[in-house]
Amino acid sequence: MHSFLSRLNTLFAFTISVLAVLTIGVFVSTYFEKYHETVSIGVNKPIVKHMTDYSANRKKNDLGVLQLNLDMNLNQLFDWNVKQLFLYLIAEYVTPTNSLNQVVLWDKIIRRGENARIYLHDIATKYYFWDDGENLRSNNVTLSLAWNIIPNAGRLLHVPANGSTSFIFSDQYTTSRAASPKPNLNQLFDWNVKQLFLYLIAEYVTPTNSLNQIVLWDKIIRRGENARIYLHDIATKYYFWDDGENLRSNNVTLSLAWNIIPNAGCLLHVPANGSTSFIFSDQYTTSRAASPKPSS
Amino acid sequence: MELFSFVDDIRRMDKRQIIYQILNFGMIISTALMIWKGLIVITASESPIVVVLSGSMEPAFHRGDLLVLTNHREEPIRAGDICVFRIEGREIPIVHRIIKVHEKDDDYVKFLTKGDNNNVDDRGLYAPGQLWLEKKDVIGRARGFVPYIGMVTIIMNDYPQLKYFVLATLGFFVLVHREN
Repeated sequence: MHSFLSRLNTLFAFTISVLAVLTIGVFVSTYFEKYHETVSIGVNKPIVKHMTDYSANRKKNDLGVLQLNLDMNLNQLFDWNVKQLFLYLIAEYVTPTNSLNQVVLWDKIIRRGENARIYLHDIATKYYFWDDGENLRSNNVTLSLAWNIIPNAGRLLHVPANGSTSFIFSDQYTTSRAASPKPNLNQLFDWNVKQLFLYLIAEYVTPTNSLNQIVLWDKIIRRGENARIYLHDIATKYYFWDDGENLRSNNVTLSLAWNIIPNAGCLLHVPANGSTSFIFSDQYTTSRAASPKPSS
Repeated sequence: MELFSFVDDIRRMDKRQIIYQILNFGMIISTALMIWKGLIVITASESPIVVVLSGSMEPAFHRGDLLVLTNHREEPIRAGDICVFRIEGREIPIVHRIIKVHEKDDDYVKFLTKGDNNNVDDRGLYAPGQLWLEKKDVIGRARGFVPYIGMVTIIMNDYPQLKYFVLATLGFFVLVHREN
């Protein structure tokens, strides 16, 4: 038993030693490798928009929009100590408020064995180019690519590529649609919005009641569902009963509001911008008089 | 009964040898502690060796890989760096990549991180109301990588009985071992 245990011990110690020597060997043999390569980056149509950044401070910040061209062949970077390359494209620029800004616009993982030739033309950026402020107009931005070498064992190197490019944003904002954009609630969904409950309130005054509110339509939009709504000439979901007989000639205001159901936090009720008013007719309508059936 | 031969060895030890064993034990402990503290000084990081605990940086780092960190003040925070940070009020450090950096003239930096294997950035992980990370949240930047070794730490944390057993056995053998 004693010799069995000591053999096991020797075997185990030897295995660990061999593994350690191999690992150190792999690390030392590629210690001086530089992993340089040349790439080609191009930019098309850089424009600046001015919008509310719901993912950050909910203020109006500058959003840069551009298309990218990327052309590179990184196959010779993969030696025996490269497990993976993590490519990232950085937009670097200076603003009056911040002396240095870096925003990653695009990234890609290339594992060992995958094809490392990249040719992308006119692609959108993978991530939004939000500025921390409103200083993108006329700004000179440098786009540079770099890769992070993930070794089998050893140093984690960040290597900048040869071949960066610069461009200047236009000096005017671009608005996607001129004056009245189509209403769209998709940007209300941040990470703390589980669901939106929309409700349309009809609000009016009568001699008997100083305030009346009736919900005529509602809708639940869950996170992930499309929050663009376009409904035309639909009937009200609920009956518009008055508590009395005072709807004729009444001026009614229709306003939409949404209840934000968070993952955790305040249950907000937010009235939308854009209500409308109308006045009911001063005569009752009887069902047959409105649409006379043609006699056969 | 060869197993119990060490019992006779203990009975044969005199006072000097017992003191020698205790000093030997103390030397081992203090050497380990000195190496760890020395690493902290060299790397300027409060925790220079960390084990990757989650799969949010796959396929680069898997659970159980070991990272060597540095946190020198002259190393600027730049996009693309892999940094290990702690969120205020939480004790578990997170290893993710920096994707946005906004730096001012007075060296104040705020930055945003994202795990390679996650689809969204880390704003959902930060403290409520926190939109950016700052230098004070950073434990260090990952500079070196050794695969698989950290699994030992993870197993010891998941099965604490194993940890106590190993420590007890090691302590026992160090105390009892006699250089002939």
